[in-house]
Amino acid sequence: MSAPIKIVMLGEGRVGKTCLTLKYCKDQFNENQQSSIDATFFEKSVDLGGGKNITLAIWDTAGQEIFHALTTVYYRDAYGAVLVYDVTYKESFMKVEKWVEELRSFGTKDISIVVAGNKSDMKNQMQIDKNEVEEYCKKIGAKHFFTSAKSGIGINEMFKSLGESISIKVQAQESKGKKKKGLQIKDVKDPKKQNQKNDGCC
Amino acid sequence: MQQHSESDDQSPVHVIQFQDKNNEIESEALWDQEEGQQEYHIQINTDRILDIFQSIETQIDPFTCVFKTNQQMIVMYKQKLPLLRRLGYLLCKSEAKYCIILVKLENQNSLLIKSLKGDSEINDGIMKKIGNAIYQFSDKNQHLSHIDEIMQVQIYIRHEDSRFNPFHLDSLSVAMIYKHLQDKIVIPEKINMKQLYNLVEKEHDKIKEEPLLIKSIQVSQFHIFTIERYIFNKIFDQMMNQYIEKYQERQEQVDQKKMQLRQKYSKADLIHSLEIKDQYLPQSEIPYHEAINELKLINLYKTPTEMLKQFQYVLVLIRGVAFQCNQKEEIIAMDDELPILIWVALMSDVPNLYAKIFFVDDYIQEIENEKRILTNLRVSLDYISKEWKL
Repeated sequence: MSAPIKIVMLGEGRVGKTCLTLKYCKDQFNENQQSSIDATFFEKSVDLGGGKNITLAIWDTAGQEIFHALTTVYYRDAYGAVLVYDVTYKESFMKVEKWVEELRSFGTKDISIVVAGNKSDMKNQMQIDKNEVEEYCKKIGAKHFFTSAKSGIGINEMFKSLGESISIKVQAQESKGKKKKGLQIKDVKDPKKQNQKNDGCC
Repeated sequence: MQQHSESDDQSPVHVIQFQDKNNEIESEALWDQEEGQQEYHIQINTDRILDIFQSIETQIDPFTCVFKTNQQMIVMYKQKLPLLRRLGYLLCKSEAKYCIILVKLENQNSLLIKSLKGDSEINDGIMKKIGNAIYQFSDKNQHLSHIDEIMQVQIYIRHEDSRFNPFHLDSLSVAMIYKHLQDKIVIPEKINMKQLYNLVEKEHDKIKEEPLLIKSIQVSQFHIFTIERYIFNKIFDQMMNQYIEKYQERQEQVDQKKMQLRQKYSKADLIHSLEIKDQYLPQSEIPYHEAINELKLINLYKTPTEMLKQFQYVLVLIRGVAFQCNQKEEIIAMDDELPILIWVALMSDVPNLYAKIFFVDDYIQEIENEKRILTNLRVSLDYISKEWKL
């Protein structure tokens, strides 16, 4: 089995980082339902198509402002980051810029980034300008996805895109002979089976 | 007492785990889970258990005592391995092996005799000899020819009432591994954690070649623990002193800040400042005191793997309490967990905690996921010393 590749979930408190991960890995959205799941860490295999897949080790982080300065510790050895903001709360998008700056300064070189505009099912309360957001993401070289942990919209696509971005960089490193610990793309013998697996739990 | 067993389809070896009410004890044993293996309980004078064992030893030929304490004795027989007698404490693994265990049952004045492996008829014959030896010892005027007569005086003891560790074969493995290491291992005077990790791996590979040791997957981790214990018992003080020296300044900063915070603010203020949600606050004078106390116990351990397990146990306790008092039944995420961990770190006075965290972190070479608790603890200490405003 290939070693998992670490990615971190970043974003202000209560924007839905954990719910996104949970929906993706366990197909659950917690809206006052009983649960005793440890949602601070998950592993999930991502089907990249063409008989390849990688396993993502998804680290949750604390998003509160008071812990912001400490989050850089979690970037160590991370090859990808999901920056989550709440589309109904514009200030949370402003924080994305700060996360990007810090990732570029303290994160792994060439770290892959995707941006998730979460709670996109609450269209009536949307506070962000779609064009402005997508222009910004283009500028920083990150793909943007509107997601909803409640409906599941955009989540699989987002993680798959991140997985693909990481795998391209991994393969480039491998071809240069710079293969690093944890960076392996696994050949899948039966892609059909893997496709089925990818839709289920991690 | 609970009994739990796991079987491995690939191997005739089964792992048996016993949990005592007071001490959790994990043991492994060679044990055929075949029907026909017998178990007897015989009344004895437990004050004279060692004399009884000695008497048994003289009457069980061709079986040999391979392990004996004042609690239990294991007798084994293996035809094609004469070395076994000489290496009396060794445990052998063979299809042709017979194994019987004798255990003194505390407070019951009785001895449990149980056959674990081998032909049940042969084992039963030896168990009868054992019964006769016990009876002879107890009453020299009588000699019984059949164990059924002994069974008349037996008392039946249910497992759940017993408090003992019946299959203490792990002691045999420890003795064997220690003997192996004493003879062969060379620990360089100057060695770093990575080299130590490689050394343990290397010795583990060598031990796998030892013909008399159980090699099932289940006990492999146990062997690594044992090798680590042997090595770190020798070098722990020296290594830890280096770490203490390296992280002394950071430790002093955090210790000082902890003292200031605790003097200046009430517990309620500190909790409020950390933004711990109400639903994660149990009704107790010091919330999460279980985890706080458990973190202090890190000082009891000398190997990185055991220390990591202790750190992980602290996290388990935090989550256990959090889930228990979580009335809104929300999922615990890092937004919730980190503030609680900071609280636990603040209230635990563990000397040189930074040094211990890095000591473990540098040694464990596995995937980082296993070490997340170390990252979180380090972040907690950093928050206290650097970010928390007085």
